[in-house]
This record gives sequence, structure tokens and C-alpha cells, in this order.
Amino acid sequence: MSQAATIEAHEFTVASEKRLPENIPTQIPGSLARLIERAAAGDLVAFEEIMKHSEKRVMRMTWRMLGNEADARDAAQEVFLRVYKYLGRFKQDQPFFAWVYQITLNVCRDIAKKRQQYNTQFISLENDNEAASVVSDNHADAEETLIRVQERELMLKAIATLPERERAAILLRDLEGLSTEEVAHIMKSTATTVRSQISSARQKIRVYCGRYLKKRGAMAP
Amino acid sequence: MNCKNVEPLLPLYVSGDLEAERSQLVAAHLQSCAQCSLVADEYAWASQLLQRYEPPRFSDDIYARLREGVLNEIERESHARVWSGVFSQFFLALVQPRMRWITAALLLAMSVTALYLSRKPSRQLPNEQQIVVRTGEPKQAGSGADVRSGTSSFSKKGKDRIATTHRLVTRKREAIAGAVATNLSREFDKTLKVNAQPSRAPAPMRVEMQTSDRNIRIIWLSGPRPVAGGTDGSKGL
Repeated sequence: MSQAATIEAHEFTVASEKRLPENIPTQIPGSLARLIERAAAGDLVAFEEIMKHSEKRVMRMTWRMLGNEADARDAAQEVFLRVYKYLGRFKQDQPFFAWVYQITLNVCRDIAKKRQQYNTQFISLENDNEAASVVSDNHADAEETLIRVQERELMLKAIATLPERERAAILLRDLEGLSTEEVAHIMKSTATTVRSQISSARQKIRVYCGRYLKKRGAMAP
Repeated sequence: MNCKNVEPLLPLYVSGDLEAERSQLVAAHLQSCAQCSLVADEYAWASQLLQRYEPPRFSDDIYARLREGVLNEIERESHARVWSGVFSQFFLALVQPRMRWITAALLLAMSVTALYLSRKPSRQLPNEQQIVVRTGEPKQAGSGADVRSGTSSFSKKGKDRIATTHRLVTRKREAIAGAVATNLSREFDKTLKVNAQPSRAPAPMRVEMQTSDRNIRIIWLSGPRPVAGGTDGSKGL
């Protein structure tokens, strides 16, 4: 692994750090390049370290793409298996996490296709469990949690209506905090196309949420 | 800029994705247009909602199981790869240039051995796959009953004779292994004579031999010939 690659990986982190929300881990050790090199040579301890550094990003992304924990876990496992398998092919002049995101999107697309075959729904049940669990909390907290759960459910449904590429673009840009150029690189597309996809996705989400609120307002006494 | 131009730019404007120049133009329009301003607010609100699209907090246990699952799968795959690698290396070694002659010689030796083993005469008769000994007594038996079936219609004498004949035939089978079919017939004629003498019984005897060809069956008859159109109905070869 060259020093340039280390710097590249570090720069990628720093660039993302400015936009990432607080709960997204941004600490990537300087030894990432060495870890990648060792893992590519078959060192499982090094690979486990890489997993520890990227598992939260991967899980979050797979959950956002697929909408439920079970699929997200399966997808994350498959992502890491592919990362290990193709680590030897990883070009050292590109940012590592962008490459991981690329694999993540491919795996999610494969799993989503399989799910479409079996006609399963993009609706998570774990939110309902969470909503039920807040009943035992104190009233104010419970209400707040319930609103949060409802909002998340609303977004889950809104995002489920988006085409796969639009969904990926908006999640990477708005939630993972990557730049349009980085998203374009991950999606092997151009910045203009990504901008157009993001614009379209935002428009659809606004329309969906607006319709939902109107319906709720009409139903309210 | 009018509303028609501004509206498509709003999704990008709210998140600061527009270039500075265009962004200023949109901002100027929004100050004067309440309708577009309302739409921009809706975009901002939807963007805020989107930020709350967070997955549930996954426990450390989930991550630990994820890592464990991945590492187990990698180890399982690597074991499988080792075995397939061993086999593939073995076969690859065989087709390497300096191993080609050895491989060819090995294959030739194996082929010759297989050919030799397949052509080696077996202990059994080559042509006679099955020998069926039938006794006559067509009036009693009604038909040529198989000795092995052990039907009760035979007399004790007949049974003894059959057993003796069977033993002799078996011994002969071993003795004449490898002999050609023509020699066999002579041998069997002798056998039948030997068999017929001590019993002195006038009862006819019938020996059938099924060759490997289903259409050819060798039949020996001794004693008085069965009556034409008898119950047996079979004819000599």
C-alpha cells in the first residue's frame, strides 16, 4: 500500500467529516492502508479490524436501502464477504470507503431483486415494536418517541417509492453526507446525473410527505 | 427569473447544491414570490424529515455476530478452496510439459491393465450362462419342471438322480471352463451317459443350457424321446 493511498483514505475521511452527522463514526486509523494490505494477504485479524471500522456505516446504509434489520444484517455480511474476496482487486488510489459503498449498493440491489421475486414488502415491523415499547416510558418521552417512530415510518415509505438509483443517490448525499462528486464516483455516474437524481428524489419525497400530511389533517377531528 | 424557472431549482437550492450565482437568483426570487417560498419551505421540511430517517441503534452483540459470521464463512470457504486447490494442482502437475510423458505412460498402463482384465477368461463358462436341468417323466410332471423349484411331483428316485446329475454337471462346469461350445456338448453327452447308467431308469432326462444369445438354447435329451406334441412341447436344437 502506497503512502499516497493512505493519504487518500485519510483525506476522504476528513472531507466527509465536515458534513457527517455526529453519530457517524469518522475515526479511521492512519494504519488503514496497512490493515488493507495485511487483510488482502489473508490476515483475518486485520480484516476484523477493518470490519470494526466500517461495520456501522455498512449496517446503516444497508438498513436505509432495504428498510429492515434482518435484510440489513444479511446484506452487511455479504458486503464484508465481497470486500474480503475482492480486496486484492482494490485499487489503492481510490478511497476505501467509497469502494465499500459501491459493494454495499450492489449487494442491496441484489437482495432487493430477490425480495421482489418473493413479493415481500419494504415495510419494517421493528418500528412497530419500538412504538409499542415506548408505552412503558414516561408520557413526554413516549410521545416524542412515538412521533419519531411515525416520522421514520413516513420516510421509510417515501423512500420505498423511489427508484433504486435515486434512493441510493439521496441516501449517500443527504444522509451519509458525501459530496455530489463522491456519490457520482460511487455510483459510476456523472455529477450532473446524480444532481438530477437527487433533485427528482427530493421532489418525490416532498410530494409524498405533503400528501400524507394532508390526509392526516383531513382525518383529524 | 420567474416561477417556472425557479421551481425545478428548489430541490437543489435548499441543500446548497446550486452554484453561488444561481443560488443568489433563486434567493432573490423567493423574497418576492410567496408561492415559491412556500414550496421551498416544504423542501426544507422534507429534508429535515429525511435526516430523521435513522436506523434503530444496533447493539454491540449484533455487530459481534456479524463479524463472527463473516469470519466463519471466510474460513469455511478457504478450507473448501484448499481442497479444490490440491486437486487442481495435482491435475495441473500431470499436464505440465515434463510430466506429459509420464502421464501418457501411466494412462497407457492403466488402459492395458483394464483391457487385460476385461479379456481374461473367468472361472465360469463363457457362453453358458445358465444351466437348467430338467427331468422327463412327462406323464407325471406334465411339463419340464425346474429342478431348483423343488416341485413335489418328482419321485424320490427322480430327485436323487437329479441331484446326482446336478452335481456332475456342476463339476463338469468347473472342469470344462474355457472350453468351446462344441466340446461342451460332447462332454455333456458323456456326463449324461454316466448319469444314466447307474440309475438304469428308463425315465427320460433333459438338460438345457442357455447360451448368452437368448435365441440359442442347447438341449440334451436322454432316454426315450418325449411323445411328439407332448406336454413339454420343446424340441431339440
